[in-house]
Amino acid sequence: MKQNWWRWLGGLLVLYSIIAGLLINVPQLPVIHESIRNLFYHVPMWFAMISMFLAGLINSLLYLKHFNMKFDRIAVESVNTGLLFSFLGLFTGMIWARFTWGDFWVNDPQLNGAAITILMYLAYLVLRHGIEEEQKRARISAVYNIFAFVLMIVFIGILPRLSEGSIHPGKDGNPALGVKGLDATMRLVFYPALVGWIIIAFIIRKIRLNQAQLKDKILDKF
Amino acid sequence: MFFKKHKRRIYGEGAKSGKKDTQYQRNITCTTPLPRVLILLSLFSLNSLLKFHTIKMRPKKKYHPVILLLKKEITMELKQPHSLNGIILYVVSTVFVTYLSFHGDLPITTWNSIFWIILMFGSMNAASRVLYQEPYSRHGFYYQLINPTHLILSRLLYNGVLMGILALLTFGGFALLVGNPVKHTGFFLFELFVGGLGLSSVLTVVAAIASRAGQSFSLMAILSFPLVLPLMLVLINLGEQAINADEILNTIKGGAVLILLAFLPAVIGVLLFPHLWRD
Repeated sequence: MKQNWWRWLGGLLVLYSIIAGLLINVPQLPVIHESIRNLFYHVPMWFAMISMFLAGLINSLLYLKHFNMKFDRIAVESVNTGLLFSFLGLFTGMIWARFTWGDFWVNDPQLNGAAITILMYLAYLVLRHGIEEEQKRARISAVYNIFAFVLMIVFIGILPRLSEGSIHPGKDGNPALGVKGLDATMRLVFYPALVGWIIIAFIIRKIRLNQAQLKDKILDKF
Repeated sequence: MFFKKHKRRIYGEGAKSGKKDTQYQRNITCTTPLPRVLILLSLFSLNSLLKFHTIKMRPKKKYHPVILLLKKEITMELKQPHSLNGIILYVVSTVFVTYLSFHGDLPITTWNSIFWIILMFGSMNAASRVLYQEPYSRHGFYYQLINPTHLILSRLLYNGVLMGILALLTFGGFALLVGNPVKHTGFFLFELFVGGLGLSSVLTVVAAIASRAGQSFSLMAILSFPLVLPLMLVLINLGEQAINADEILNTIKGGAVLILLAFLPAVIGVLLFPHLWRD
């Protein structure tokens, strides 16, 4: 319990964000009405995804420096978890879009960037399946991971801000952490939700890592 | 000093008297290459003198390795033009199919979209073709001789030029058969070349990755498709503006975006390629 206190904290924060997010008073805005509560669930998903892909980048860089298979394993599981959160973020976003914009998917640079990010990391998984030898697979996928991360930052961070006519909110300044844009009551739920979901992402990754380690032990690898 | 003198004491009467009475035996052994150096110098000077008589002396020019590698690729290409012929064939056949399927009458947005789609698939074709020509056995040879940074830079430049040529040919073919609705031709040409460089930068790096991961074209297509999409979106958008827009002043931002998208993958690829190269 002493080591795992932060995991319990993450669970508690997510539980708090779910309950409080549905109960607090939110500002009444014209088109969005009550669906603004989705902010507490949609945005933290993407932040969890970015934190996971960042962890994957760091581990890929570490692998290329030290050539320790441990880093490669962490990088893969980071990408897997990040992909999970990206699908969740896309799903919550689609529900939100249906209620505010009228359609599940619109032609928007931010949405296209998110879809391309998912495609890029799915291609990473395909690349890994294509190589049999372990060291080679680790090295090549580390190179592709670094490449994909930098391009992801361009596609979801830089390109949507540069193109005009984007109806996805959050173009001036940071899309979610803008202190000006967010109501004080909502901030009370939003920041804990962020932290909670990022912790949940690390928990899921840790479970996957333990699973992978057990599998390797059974197959008598490392 | 240069010569070692072997001293050999010859004891004479002086030994009794205490005087130094050693006669040095001049047994000089040459321990340094000085005479060899002198001989070589003399030969060299003779050689250069003779050369001076026959051929005009000029300083030997040293080319940068990237330029040498480019020269080698271009020479190989001119001897057996696999890539160029494949590209020309692809351009001609796709443009002709477009012409036939639309009966020569294309609306403007369709012209733009089909142009860039053809370029996208043609570039993927060109990038993978250039890489699969070299037999795998030669990779070890290259690995020992060539700095990987120079290799990737030369490949990026070569592919960039190749895709620029591909773009020009496609544009020419379209203009001939299906019409040329482009108003701002200068901007469109700029877009073609920078777009070609951008496509080459992404596709060369992906081709390098895919070639290390087994020789399959489908892997290259799967890997490159999502990476190329944003560049294609920007190119299609800018192409529409080059065709339709009354002024191109508001496309300067688009041009800057294009340049960013073109050079960023190249920079990362150059940084990462040495890691791929070790095998």
